Amino acid sequence: MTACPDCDYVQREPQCVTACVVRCRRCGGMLYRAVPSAPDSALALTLAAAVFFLIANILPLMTLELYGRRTSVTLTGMATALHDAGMTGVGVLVFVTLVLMPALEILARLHLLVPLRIGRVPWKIGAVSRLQASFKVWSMVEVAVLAATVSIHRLDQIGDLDIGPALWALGAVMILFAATHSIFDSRDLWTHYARRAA
Amino acid sequence: MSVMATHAGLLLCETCGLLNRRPRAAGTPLCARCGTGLHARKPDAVVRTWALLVAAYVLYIPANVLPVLTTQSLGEETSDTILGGAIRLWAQGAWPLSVVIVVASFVVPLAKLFALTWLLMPARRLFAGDAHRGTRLYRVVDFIGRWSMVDIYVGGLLVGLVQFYPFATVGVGPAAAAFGAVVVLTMLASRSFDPRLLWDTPVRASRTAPNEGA
Repeated sequence: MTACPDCDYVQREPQCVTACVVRCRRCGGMLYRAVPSAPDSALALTLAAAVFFLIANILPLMTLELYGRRTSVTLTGMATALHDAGMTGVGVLVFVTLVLMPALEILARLHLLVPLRIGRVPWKIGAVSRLQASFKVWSMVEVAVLAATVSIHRLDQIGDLDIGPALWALGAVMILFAATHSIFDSRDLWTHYARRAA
Repeated sequence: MSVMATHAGLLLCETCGLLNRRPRAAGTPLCARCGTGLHARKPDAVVRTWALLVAAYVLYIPANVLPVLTTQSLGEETSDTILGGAIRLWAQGAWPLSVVIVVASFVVPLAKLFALTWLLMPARRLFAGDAHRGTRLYRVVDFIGRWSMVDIYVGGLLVGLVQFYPFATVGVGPAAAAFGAVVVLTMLASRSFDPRLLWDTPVRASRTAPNEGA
């Protein structure tokens, strides 16, 4: 038995053999996702995301050239530029949502999935899966990719614009995160732990 | 009639999905499986959501009235508000971008504010059939909020790249701070709201009805 997190309706959970998304019978809210091989796939996707995220943080997102002068911006560079422009609060918001939260999201997911792979129960599993859910809410990589797409037009009018490798890497992180979120569910994780433990 | 976990003396853990029996002891009970604090409804949902919402309404005004970007080129300085920037893009023929900015920075935050206000209206809970619609609306609000950050990131990219004094420099205006606060406040507001409240009144009414008739 379970209850719907959106409308509190108590219902029996259907047993699904293959991958499925279980929805509330009353309000249609998602109860959980169950994908048989989710932990392994999610681990692989998260490791790939970690590599691309590292690249996205080190290399420049874009380079702009005007009258022989070149400027380039990194993810952290966006935050420091806002700070230098006198908008420290906005800079902090950018740093938190584009650097800190995605990094913590990746680390929390690895913390939950690596032990499962080697047959152990992660340390502080309850607290970490709680944190993982909030990190996910405040990590906004996909929104930054849209913002970069929007600003390409504006920047192209000002000077010669080059798309840096970090932007492609960020696009990859966006896709890998979306793929991970579509199979990984912290509720489903407990079923896998129970199966491992048994 | 459908059974709600609260009425059955059960508490759902939002982290691991376990249905816990409500203990007799006072204080916040913890989930037996993962240790998450359990609440039948999110604590003070209505009051917290209202407080965050009112703050967001107030800051929505400077966010739209004050300049968000200032562009300087050869001593000439122009500053744009959020909508002004979108109109300029439209005039340049970049209407798809103009639409993205208007939707993400103007329509979405305002629609979110109105939607949450509507969900909080106590009178609305008198209509039982509204629970379905309200819950659907809440899920949309909760999902779209993050996309309003687009303008903040565009500002960050422009300020980071366009630093060619005296030919072209871009700076951010005070609206950026107000707008960032609006996005964060509305996201916090939608997270502190509890859609289960929408289902409470109709169910309670139908449960008390037989007693009243007897």
